[in-house]
Amino acid sequence: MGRTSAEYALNRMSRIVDDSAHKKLVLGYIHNLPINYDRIMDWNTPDGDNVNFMFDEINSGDWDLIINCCCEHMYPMSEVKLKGIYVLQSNNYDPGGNIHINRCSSIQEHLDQIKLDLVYYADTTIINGTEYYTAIGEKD
Amino acid sequence: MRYRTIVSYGDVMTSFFCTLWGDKYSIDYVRNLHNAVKRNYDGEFKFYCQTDRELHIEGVHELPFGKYKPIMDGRFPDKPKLNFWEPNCWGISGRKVFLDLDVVILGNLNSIIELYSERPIINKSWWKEDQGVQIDHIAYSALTNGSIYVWEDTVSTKVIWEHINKYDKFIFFTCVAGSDNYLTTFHLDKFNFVPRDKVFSYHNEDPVKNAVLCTVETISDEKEIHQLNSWIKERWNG
Repeated sequence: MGRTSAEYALNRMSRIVDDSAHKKLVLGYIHNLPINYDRIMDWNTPDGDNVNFMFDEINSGDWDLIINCCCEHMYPMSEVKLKGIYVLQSNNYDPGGNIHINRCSSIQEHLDQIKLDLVYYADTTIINGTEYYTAIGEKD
Repeated sequence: MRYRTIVSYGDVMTSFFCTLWGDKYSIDYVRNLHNAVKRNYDGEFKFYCQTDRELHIEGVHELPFGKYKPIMDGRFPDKPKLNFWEPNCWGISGRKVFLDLDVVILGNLNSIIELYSERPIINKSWWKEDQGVQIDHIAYSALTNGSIYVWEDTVSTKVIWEHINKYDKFIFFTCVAGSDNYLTTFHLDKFNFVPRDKVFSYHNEDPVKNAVLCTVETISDEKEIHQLNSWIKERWNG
């Protein structure tokens, strides 16, 4: 399910953004989908790194295409201040166990917490009964 | 004539702490815990309670909340427990022991406290380990059980406090269930654990013979100590 939804977001991105011209930062999983990123930061790594505690490092970087297909696992993306294009997806699925610490209940709630300055695209798609909220836009 | 051996770490005073807020527990829980420490600890000690209530319990010193207050916003419900990691908080240093209010002390506490050797001691949810709970792939699950801390202010506890201070906003958001999620995720390697033969979880394990501590933590609809009709409630009442 996660792979399918990430695939959906990346397909959307490819129709809107020429990603070859950008320096790409991926936050969270992309499920081995074919995208050439410059850096990936996970939300759950056994060695103690956790993207929720790495915003200083993120905001001091020079990435200008930020992809996060699992915002439901993370502190709100308003914390990322980088100037650039964002591809951000969340969902309303509750797997239990406090795994999805930041799931949303609507595309508007997702938009409200990611704080894009310009929204290129925003929609809700349903995959296996779960609503996925995909937003593409920019921060300046 | 028989003499009882008193071990008191020379001139070291041990400071016991608990914390009370909200309406989950009554003041009786503080009173019973204090009485249990008096019965089961050999040595000089002071007993403190971080609280916003007037307790009027002789021998229990009330402390105001430290930096983190009991703010109920649906995440990290036990924020005030983090205050104990502040070095020299409330001007108290030396050997410190924190106890949750929902523990029942069954034996001599010295046998746990005397295990302290530079690394802080915390309880572990041994029953979760038996169940194979994965803590490396579920960042927000807990293996520690903060029903007891034994510690002194050291470099490693200072590291814990500095991490809390730097990231508190993110800690409170991501570690939804609270302090044990946080300590498990970020500081597990800094602790020693209460040995398994000295503690058991009332609602999750069979009683351990000669255990020193019984934890009666409630996760969903289990009964609190005062609601039980069981031998453990009798021991709690002293």
